[in-house]
Amino acid sequence: MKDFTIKNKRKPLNKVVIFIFWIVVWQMIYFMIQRDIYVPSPFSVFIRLKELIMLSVFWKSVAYSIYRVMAGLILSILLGVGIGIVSSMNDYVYDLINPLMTAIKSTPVLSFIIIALIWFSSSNVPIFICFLMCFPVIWLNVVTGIRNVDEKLLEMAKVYRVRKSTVLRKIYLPSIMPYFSAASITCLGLGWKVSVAAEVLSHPKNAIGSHLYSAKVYLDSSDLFAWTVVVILLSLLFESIFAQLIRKITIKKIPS
Amino acid sequence: MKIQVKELFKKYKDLQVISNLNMDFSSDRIHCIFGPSGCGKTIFVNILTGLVDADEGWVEGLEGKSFSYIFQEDRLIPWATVEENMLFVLESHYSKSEARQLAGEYLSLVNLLKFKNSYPEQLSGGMKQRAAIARAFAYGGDIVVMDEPFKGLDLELKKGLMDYIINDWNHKNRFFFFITHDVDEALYIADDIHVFQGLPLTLKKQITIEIPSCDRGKYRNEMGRYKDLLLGDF
Repeated sequence: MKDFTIKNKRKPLNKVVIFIFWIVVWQMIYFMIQRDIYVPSPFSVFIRLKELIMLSVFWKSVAYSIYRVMAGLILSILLGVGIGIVSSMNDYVYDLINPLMTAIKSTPVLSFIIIALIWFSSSNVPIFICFLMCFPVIWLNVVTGIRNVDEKLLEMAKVYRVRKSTVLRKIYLPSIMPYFSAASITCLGLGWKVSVAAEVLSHPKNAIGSHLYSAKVYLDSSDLFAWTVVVILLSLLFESIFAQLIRKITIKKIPS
Repeated sequence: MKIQVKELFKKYKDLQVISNLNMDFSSDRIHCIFGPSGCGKTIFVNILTGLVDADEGWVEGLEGKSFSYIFQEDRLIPWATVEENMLFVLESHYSKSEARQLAGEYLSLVNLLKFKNSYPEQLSGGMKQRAAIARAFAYGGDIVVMDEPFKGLDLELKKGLMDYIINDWNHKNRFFFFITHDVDEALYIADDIHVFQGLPLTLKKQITIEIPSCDRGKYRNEMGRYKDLLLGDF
C-alpha cells in the first residue's frame, strides 16, 4: 500500500478580482438605495476623483496633509524611541511614563482635538494629534522589544567582552526591529485617520479634512467619498512604501 | 596562577544554593565540576565568570581574566550566520582580517567551515554546539568554562575535541572548568575532579588523577579504580 498525503494548497484570490467584487457590492448597494446623497455610485465618485486631480488645490491639500501626518509621525517615532529606550532601561522612568500612556490611549481622540484647538493654530492641531496617538504605540513597542531581547545572548556577549556598540548593532537593533516596524506600520494607518479627523474639526487651509468638512456641509456625497478614497489610497501607499523600506533596511534573508 | 574561593554564599529565590564554600584551584589543570543536576554547579561557575553576583564571600585570582564559556545551549545569534557569530565575538578583540582568519581556523577544527554561511536554524543541534565550541576556542580566554559542552556530539568528534583540549590547550597556562555528569568524559579529560553535592553546594571530595591525560589508555586498571572511586558516591 502506498502512503500519500493530499496537500490542500489554497490558491490566493487575485487582488483585481477582490477589488472588482467590492466595487460590484458598492454598486449593488447604490442600486438598492437609489439615492446619491446616502451612497453615491462608484462611477460618480470616480468622475469626481478625476475632476479633483485636475485641480491644483487638490495637490496642495494632499501635500499639506502628507506633511502633517509625516511631521506627527516622525515626532512620535523620535520621542517614542528615545523615551522607550530610557523607560526600558530604568524601571522608575517606566513607572512614571506608563500611566501617562494608558491615559492617552483611553482618552477619546475628540477630547484631545478640542484641547489642541485651544492650544495650537489650526494647521498644527493635526500634527499634535497624530503625534499624541502614535507616540504610545511606538513607545510601548520599543519597550517591549528591548525587554524581549534574549538575556542569554546578552550574557554570552558579556562573558566574551563584546563591545557595547556591537551588542547594540548586532543584538539589540535586530531584536527591536520587528516590534518597531510593526508599530510604525500601525501608526501610518492610525496617523492618517486621526490627522484627517483633526483636520475636519480644525479645518486648516489646504487640508484633506477641510475638504471632507465642506463636502459634509454641502451634502456632496460624491465629493466626500472621493476624498475618503484619496485618504485610503494615500494610507495604503505610505504603508507599502514604509514596509518595503523597513524590509530593505533590516530583514536579512534567512532561508527557511 | 591560582583561584581561591572564600566563604561564598548565594541564595536563589528561597533556596540557599551555596553556603560558606571555600576552595582552591590551580592552573595548568583541567578541573571537573562533577555532581548531580540541580546541585548548584552552574550557579557556582556563573559566579566565577561574573554573570551572577555572590551574596557574600569573594573569589581571588580572577582580576583582569577573560573567559571562554561554552554554555549548555549554543547561544548563537539566530539572525547571523555561523561565521558572523564568530566575528561578533572576535572583532571586539582582533582586527577584521585576524578575526576572519581565526574564525576560519577554528571552524575547520570543528568541521564546520563548509557551513560558515549557514544560519543556526539550518544546522543540527550538534553542529550548533560545535559552532559554540569554535567560538570559545577562537576567543582563547584565560579561563575556559565548559558546561556539558559535548552534549549531542558524535563520539569521534567528542574524542577529537577532548584530545585537542588535552594536547594543545593544556599547555597554555589556562584554567579549565569542565562541568559534566558523564563519568567517562570526566575521567578522560580531567586532572582534578571536584565531586559536589547539594543543596547547598558542598564539596564532597576531590579526586586528583595522577596519570597524564594522554597516557590514560595505557593504565586501564588504575583508571578503573578512579572510576570506582567516583561512582562510589552515586
